[in-house]
Amino acid sequence: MMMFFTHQCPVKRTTVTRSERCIIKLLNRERIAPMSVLNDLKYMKLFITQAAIDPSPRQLSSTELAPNHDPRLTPLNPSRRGILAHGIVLSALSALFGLPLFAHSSAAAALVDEDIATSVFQAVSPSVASIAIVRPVGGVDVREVVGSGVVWDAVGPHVVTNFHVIPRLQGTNALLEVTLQDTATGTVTTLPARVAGSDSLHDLAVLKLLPRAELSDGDGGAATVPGVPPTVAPIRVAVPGDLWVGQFAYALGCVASDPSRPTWSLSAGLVSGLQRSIPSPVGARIYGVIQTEAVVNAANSGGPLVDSLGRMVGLNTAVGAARSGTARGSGLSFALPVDLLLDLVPKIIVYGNPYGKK
Amino acid sequence: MLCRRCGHVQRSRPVCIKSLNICVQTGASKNDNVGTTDYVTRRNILLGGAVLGAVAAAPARSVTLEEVTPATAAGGLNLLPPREAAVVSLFARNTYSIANIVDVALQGRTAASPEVDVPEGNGTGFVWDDEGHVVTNYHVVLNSLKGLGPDPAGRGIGSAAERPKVAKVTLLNPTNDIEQTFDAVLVGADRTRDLVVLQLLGAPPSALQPIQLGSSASLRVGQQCLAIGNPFGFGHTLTSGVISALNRDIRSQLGTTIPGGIQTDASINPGNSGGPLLDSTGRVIGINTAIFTPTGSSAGIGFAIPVDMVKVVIPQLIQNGKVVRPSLDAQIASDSVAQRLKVSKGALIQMVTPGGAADKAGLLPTRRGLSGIILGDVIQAVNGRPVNSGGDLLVALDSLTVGDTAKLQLVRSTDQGLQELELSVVLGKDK
Repeated sequence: MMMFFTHQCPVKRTTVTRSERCIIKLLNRERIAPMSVLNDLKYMKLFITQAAIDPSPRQLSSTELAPNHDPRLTPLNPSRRGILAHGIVLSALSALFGLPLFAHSSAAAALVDEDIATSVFQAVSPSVASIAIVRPVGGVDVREVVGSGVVWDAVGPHVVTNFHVIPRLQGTNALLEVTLQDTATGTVTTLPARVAGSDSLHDLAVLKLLPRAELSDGDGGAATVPGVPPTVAPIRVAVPGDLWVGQFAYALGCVASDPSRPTWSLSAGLVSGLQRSIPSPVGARIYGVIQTEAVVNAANSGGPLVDSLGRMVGLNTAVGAARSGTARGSGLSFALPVDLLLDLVPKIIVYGNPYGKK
Repeated sequence: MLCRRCGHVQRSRPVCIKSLNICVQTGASKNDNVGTTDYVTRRNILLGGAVLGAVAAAPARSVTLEEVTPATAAGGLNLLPPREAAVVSLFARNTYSIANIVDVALQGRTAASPEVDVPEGNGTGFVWDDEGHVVTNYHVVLNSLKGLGPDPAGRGIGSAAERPKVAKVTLLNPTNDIEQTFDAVLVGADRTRDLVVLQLLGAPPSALQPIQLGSSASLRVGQQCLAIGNPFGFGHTLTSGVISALNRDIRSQLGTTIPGGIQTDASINPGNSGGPLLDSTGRVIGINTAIFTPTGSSAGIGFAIPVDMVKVVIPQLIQNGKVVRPSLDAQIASDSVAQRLKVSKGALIQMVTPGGAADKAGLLPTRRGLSGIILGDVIQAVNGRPVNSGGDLLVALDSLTVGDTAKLQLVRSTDQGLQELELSVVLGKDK
């Protein structure tokens, strides 16, 4: 378990703090008493947690954030029962080639057409960005990945993500950075970003990418040449309402703990239900949410949910689990529907808020 | 420098003009919601240094709504790959047969809290026939049945007026797609196999779409399966997986063991129980009953009662209200006890009810002797059908009826060593 932490955790550190060891112990203890339950009222309560990691060192959900996790690297102890991954995670290391190097296929993969899955991944992953915050800690810049985002347009360029993915920035020295693929040059570029607006009620936030030249410490008063914005690939968006229960959905994410080497990930599953309601970060409810079997975790939170035609049908947001704080999902993941995005995101970009007024 | 409220660049002031309460750049007034309060604060401010160039820092130009609304790409059912279209149509057909079941004894118990979606039901069932019979698990309506006394199955006998109401069942009407809720009364209950049959009161025939039953005899590991249910109250949820294993012993919530179970990795969660497990043609191959998990939610191991067992039990429940099973009137040792006593193959008899079928046939229980524990008879075959464990014995007895003569092949421990015997047993009634 310790090895799992240090190898898979994207946060650059080599020691595990005491609170994290406590979490490891908790996770270990959970395995001791498997039981056969269904419809036990004790377990009927569903905790819907926004799939995100808290960049403060106290809470770490590294079991969620394992984009490169190949099960062959961490062999399962045969005496551990009840820990079986479900859902697929296909991860590709190279942005340029996009070849699936590891394929961990579980049973849900049997329904998924591999050719479609790989072509969807190759087509859509340029539109998925990784969002990180950089904060100076003792003179050194520490970069922590907070989640994924999806490129919305080339005008800004704007990146849409979840509100809960963006940590509290006011009053801190932290900066947001977005890593994505520049389609003109074919390379990976990391740009600073600022929050253009957000809607905490619907758990949305929009980032505007800033040209790199802006961050340079210019001389007092001298006008710096604005940097050339990158050529980004905005995602293809589906027509609202064009989704059926039983269709396949692919949840994409991007994690770039090293700004020059981002890793894109894909997980697939069926669309399990439509028109669900989940709690929003401010306590109200969001309606019309898509429920899917594709694994949504902190790595692809804020990333797109895509159908077999490569169009975005949702934004990965939350995961439901029977126990609060458990990193393991239970096959219930939630994504904001695309009609919500088409309605709110343009207003957030133009006005800074979803109401359409300045 | 940046205005701390709206994030736009100020040339000279770090905050908006307080007296006017209007931001110089955007015209936003103090009380407008301009988004989050978490803005990027430039390190430049803290370094006390540079002022950003006006040209670079000012927002280049304001964008219009049309520019930031992407064009949507059309799709449609006819553009879906055939596999997906098949799953979509399978769900659309079968969703009308799935019922959301709420135990009446539980209504009004759970208090809503913000992070929890109020469960709309605590179990799933499906429509069995045109008469309004709905099949589900016994433990879905357990709280109501507990209130009916020691023999709830017996209360189902009689006219519809006498039968007790145990659940509220919600169905999706196939004609107009509207959810309708009906009261349901108990028709029959089988605690041993965790099955119960309810009948809807006042359900018009147009609201009922009976489900199609398949067969579990020819199932193979690796076959695709789909489950429709109400996990955590989310109605009509479709999950998919494969058949992970066959012939599993399901330890039901009621303490009984159901043999021949189908293991699947489709996500089965609390709320899914009683719901059907469908094969890729949309026919029922099992009823989801239990999961094996350390967290209380799906961990990829779910168990379903095979439909062949259901097809034997449900008609008896509808007709008689209960199922009369043949029994040896003997207690069979559980797998762990048998393992400790070093019985690797066969069903070990632990205790024999005096005067029962096994006692009359002369079967010997596990008993204490002078030198320690003497093992009871270990049943190796029933009517020629090999028995490897207690679960196998239950499956073998399932195919027989009360009063049948069963030929048992046993291995008996005697002073001379192990002796192979064949005895005939007249099966008695299971209590």
